[in-house]
Amino acid sequence: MRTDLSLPARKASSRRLPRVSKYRSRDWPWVLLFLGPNFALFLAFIAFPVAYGLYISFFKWNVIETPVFTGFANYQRFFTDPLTPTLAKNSVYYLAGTVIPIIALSLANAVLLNSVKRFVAFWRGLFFLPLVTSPVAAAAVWRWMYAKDNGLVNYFATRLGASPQDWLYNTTWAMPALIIVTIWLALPFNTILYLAGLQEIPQELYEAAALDGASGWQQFRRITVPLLTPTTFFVFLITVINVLFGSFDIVNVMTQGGPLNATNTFIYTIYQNAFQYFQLGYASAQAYLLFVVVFVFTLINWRLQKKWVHY
Amino acid sequence: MMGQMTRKPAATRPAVRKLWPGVLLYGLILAAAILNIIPFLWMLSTSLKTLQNVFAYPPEWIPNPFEWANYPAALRVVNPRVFLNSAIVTIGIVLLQGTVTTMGGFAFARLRFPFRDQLFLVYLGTMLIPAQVTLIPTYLVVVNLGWVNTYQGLILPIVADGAFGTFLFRQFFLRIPDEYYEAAKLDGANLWQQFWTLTLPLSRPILSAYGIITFLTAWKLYLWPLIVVRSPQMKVVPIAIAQLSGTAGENRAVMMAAVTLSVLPLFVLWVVAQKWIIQGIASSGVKG
Repeated sequence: MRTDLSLPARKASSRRLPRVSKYRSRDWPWVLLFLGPNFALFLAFIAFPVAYGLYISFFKWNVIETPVFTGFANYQRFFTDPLTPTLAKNSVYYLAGTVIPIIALSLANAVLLNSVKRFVAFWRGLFFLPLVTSPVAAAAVWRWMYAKDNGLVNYFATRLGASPQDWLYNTTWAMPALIIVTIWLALPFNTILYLAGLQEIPQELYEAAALDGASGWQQFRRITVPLLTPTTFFVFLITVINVLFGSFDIVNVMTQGGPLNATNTFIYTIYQNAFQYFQLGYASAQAYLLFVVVFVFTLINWRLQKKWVHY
Repeated sequence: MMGQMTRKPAATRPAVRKLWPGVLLYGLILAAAILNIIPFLWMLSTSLKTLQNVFAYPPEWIPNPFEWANYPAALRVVNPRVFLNSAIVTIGIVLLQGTVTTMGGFAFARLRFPFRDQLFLVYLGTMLIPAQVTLIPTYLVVVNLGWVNTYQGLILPIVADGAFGTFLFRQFFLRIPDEYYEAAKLDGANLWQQFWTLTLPLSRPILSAYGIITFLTAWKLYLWPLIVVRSPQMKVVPIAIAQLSGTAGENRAVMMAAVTLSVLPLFVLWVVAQKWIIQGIASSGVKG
């Protein structure tokens, strides 16, 4: 998979960047041409909004009236808001409930796909099919699969001896229901990442291990898992980000954060506060706090990776 | 004859022992594949049912009779205008983001200017910023520009979110040997010609991979259009689906037909360009 994307050239690390000190003023028109559009968009829709968002977070503002400066009131409100503990609990539940199964199942899928020798394209086609569905389309289909009146999930549940549920309108079951859709939707992407990682492992390692009498499981534990740790690290980080920010579409179509906030997360509440309740200041403060959490989380993971990732 | 018959049992026993893991493997993969595509089968099956049969218990997988009229009904919701909007927005994002990220990547890889590497680090840093942080202020910027309900309002803020692309192309361009550029300079090629006739043709694989992944992502966009689009004239496909999904008098069969139609363009792309899609995703992992 990777070979087509690399040139028969030297490695990036062995190549030096052209020195900045050799900069000549006649390069300016070229810099303007090549970087200008990119940089203008970056300023207008990334850099300025990042600063402006922080600014708004210190105001009380409902869009119509003029903003009132309130200092840290929005941040204080976050820590006293009775909804905050619920949102925190739901966000952690949702993240843990999706990320861990996604890692385990996409690795299992990749190992399966890597082991079959016949109809390879056929199996891949079936496994990767959810890539063509948007979260909205997936949510619309699953909503009816979860329906209380003769939905498919209830059909299987009763066949297995469980009692039928109104899955999406039940405070206990709504979150697991969303988690299953999220996992289903995220698996193909991560399976492809793992498949690419598996194909990088030299076959000779397995042959040598088999000669030494290592069983299939031992080979998996001692060769596959350690050599895939860079992939696992990347899958972990990217899944947390994707799941966190991709969850909006699924929650919005399936439950709107309900019932009784059972599926409301920070991501969803920021949208509600900003675009349904028009509390732009509070929503901005929540967004910034979320940013800090994500930033610290990523930083910690970069530090911790030395302990378990083998490059 | 006799020789073959006597040898046979001895030959089949190890074969059977070898066969079992294979049966297990294919059994497992078949079970996983079926579980995986049940939502698709259910969607297709429901999309062709009559309204009474939607509620049949036990559910039937093969509709009887086939209700083809659900599809024309679905086309009234996810109408041609909605598809056209999605096509314009998606293709606009792919082309514009492809243009600015390749050019930006080239500037970071090949040009010299002050604070180049510092600026590049800032770009990298913005990849960590959650979309929710820029969502509200970006919306206010778009309102002030008068771009609510416009194609540029739908397209440009998404194009701006191209730090990853800029990064990806810079890394790729850095691997093109200097000698190629020296040769081009000797032939009198200016920077634009070096970009257009040397760098881009050498980058075809990554360009296709990036383009297709961007296409998939852009077609699925929901949150941003939800915020910038008010008028029915500017709706994109996911918005139309979500609005239909929320209505009380929703006909499930028509709904499933609409979802099937909405998935169709990406399904066709998937059949045609599966290799590039897989490669595009795999390459994002390699760079990480």
